[in-house]
Amino acid sequence: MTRYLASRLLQTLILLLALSAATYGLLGLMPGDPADLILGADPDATAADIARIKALYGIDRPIWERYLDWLGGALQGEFGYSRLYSQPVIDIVAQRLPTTLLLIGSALVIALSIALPAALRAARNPGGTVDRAINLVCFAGVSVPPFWFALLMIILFAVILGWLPAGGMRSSGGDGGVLDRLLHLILPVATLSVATVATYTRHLRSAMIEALSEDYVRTARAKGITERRVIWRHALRNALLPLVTLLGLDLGALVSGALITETMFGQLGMGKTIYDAIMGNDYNLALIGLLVAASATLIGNLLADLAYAKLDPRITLGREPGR
Amino acid sequence: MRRHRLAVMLSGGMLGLLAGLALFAPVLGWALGLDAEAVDLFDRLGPPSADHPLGTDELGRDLLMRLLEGGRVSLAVGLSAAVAGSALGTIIGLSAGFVGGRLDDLLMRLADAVIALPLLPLLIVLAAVDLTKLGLSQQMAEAETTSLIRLVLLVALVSWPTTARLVRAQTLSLREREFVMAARSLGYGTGRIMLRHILPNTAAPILVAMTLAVGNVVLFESVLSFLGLGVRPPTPSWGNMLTGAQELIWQAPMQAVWPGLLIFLTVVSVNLLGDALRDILDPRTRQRRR
Repeated sequence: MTRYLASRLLQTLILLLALSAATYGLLGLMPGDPADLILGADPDATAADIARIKALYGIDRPIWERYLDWLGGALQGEFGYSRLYSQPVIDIVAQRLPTTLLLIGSALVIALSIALPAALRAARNPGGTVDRAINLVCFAGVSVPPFWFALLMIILFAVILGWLPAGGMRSSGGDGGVLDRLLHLILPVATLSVATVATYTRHLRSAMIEALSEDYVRTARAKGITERRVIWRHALRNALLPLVTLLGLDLGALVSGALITETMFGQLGMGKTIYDAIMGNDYNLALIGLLVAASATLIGNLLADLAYAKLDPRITLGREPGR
Repeated sequence: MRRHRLAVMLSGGMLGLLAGLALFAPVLGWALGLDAEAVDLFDRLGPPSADHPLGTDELGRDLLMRLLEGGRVSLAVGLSAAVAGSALGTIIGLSAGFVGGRLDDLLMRLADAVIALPLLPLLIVLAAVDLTKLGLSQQMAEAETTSLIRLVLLVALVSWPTTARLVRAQTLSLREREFVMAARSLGYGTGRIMLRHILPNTAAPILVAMTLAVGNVVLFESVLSFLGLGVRPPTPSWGNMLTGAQELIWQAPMQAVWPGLLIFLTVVSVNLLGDALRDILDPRTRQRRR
């Protein structure tokens, strides 16, 4: 177990290192480095001027040398300054990460509290009218482009009904109270949770149907246990297991979703920060944003695997059968 | 089985209709006397009328024609990216499953990583790369075809793992079958066995994976174009037609409805078709829907 954990952590670290190197190289290929900007602003700039600018920003050196410099700094907790916000990038991440965590956390809670009852109801009578209806809704949920769903919600709740704000984190001139913040969260969270609700419901439904056909459920029923207890204590506990893995695997999709949601609704979280940083040529900020997003996802994945092994005594980690 | 036939007919019909409309957009435009490019600044955001069945956009261009033209681009990109992604996935899955050992380990770890990572931020970085810095000429880097090819490659790059896993699993079981052993004992080389004996037997899962991939790929394309990093204006695509829609949502909400509706219909049909195909081609999975 310890060995497994160590090797997984090592793999995660190697992946992150490779990712940071790849991203660093790619960011170097993006338009708009300081020399480009000077050239754009002043067409009379001479070759000597450009060389001076390049030397000033250190971009006259080969890219791998600059990457090693960055890595050396990063290992000491020094991630550089943001060009857009003139602040250490770490401070920006610290300010903005909570918004994303709030969004993703709320979306997960909403997704589970809808998916669980829906899946249980659908699995009670597979192929029945309710099951078919739930299936259809889930089908729509996984097929709808999230940003279009957001637009539809804005049209319905902001433009036509006028109940909810179309974007932003709080009303201008509002008191900034909790209620105001909550109202601004409803549409983003709804957008973010659509696909998740649908995916969870589909998986949980099929896991539940499978669990209900198992021998232990028949045994439980034969013992005369109430149907309620059979479902909640015997079937559901087993059906929830695959959901743990899905929870881990889905994190990446949620982070991607957060990028769209935050950008559309003007939520100042990590997703919008990454997008703005890439669009604004803020390399340091983009790099740290991508790495934070990737590490969070990978660690979530690892935690899900560990939880799975903890919950299911049949699984021993370390040797993966069938690989 | 009747339900599957209905699903195939419905989704196939819808896809055929969308593809037909997109394909014959120029003919339709000619017949209706409409042009997707014609700008009319005096008739911006116009309501539906006899001249413009769905109204006009923020530059006074005919919305219906833009939608049809956009469909050409979106569907072509979606289909090519799905084919490219599945081809990549098939090659990787075949090699991993047949060669096994270290290579298998490495490739499958890679697939795990691609599935787990937050793809959209990474795709945005890739989409923002300045091609002139990779040695392409200014003209080539800014050409419309280059940006479309880039988009196809990008989306293919993140959509291969599903196919790769399926093909690998199938290959692993096929590898031990008698006909493969027979081919081996006849002295055929690895390449020939992989191509002639294993590949044809993995056609069914590849077909299913590819169909389902089209849905995902169309979604990816639309998101990237929506964010301004996929298909670039003035070339219309369903995704980039929605880019400006949010700012105009108070004046012209329908602008935000149409392109998304077409994306939605495409993805739903493709997913429906893929699910039905899977159940038809592999009856064992019928109960255990994943």
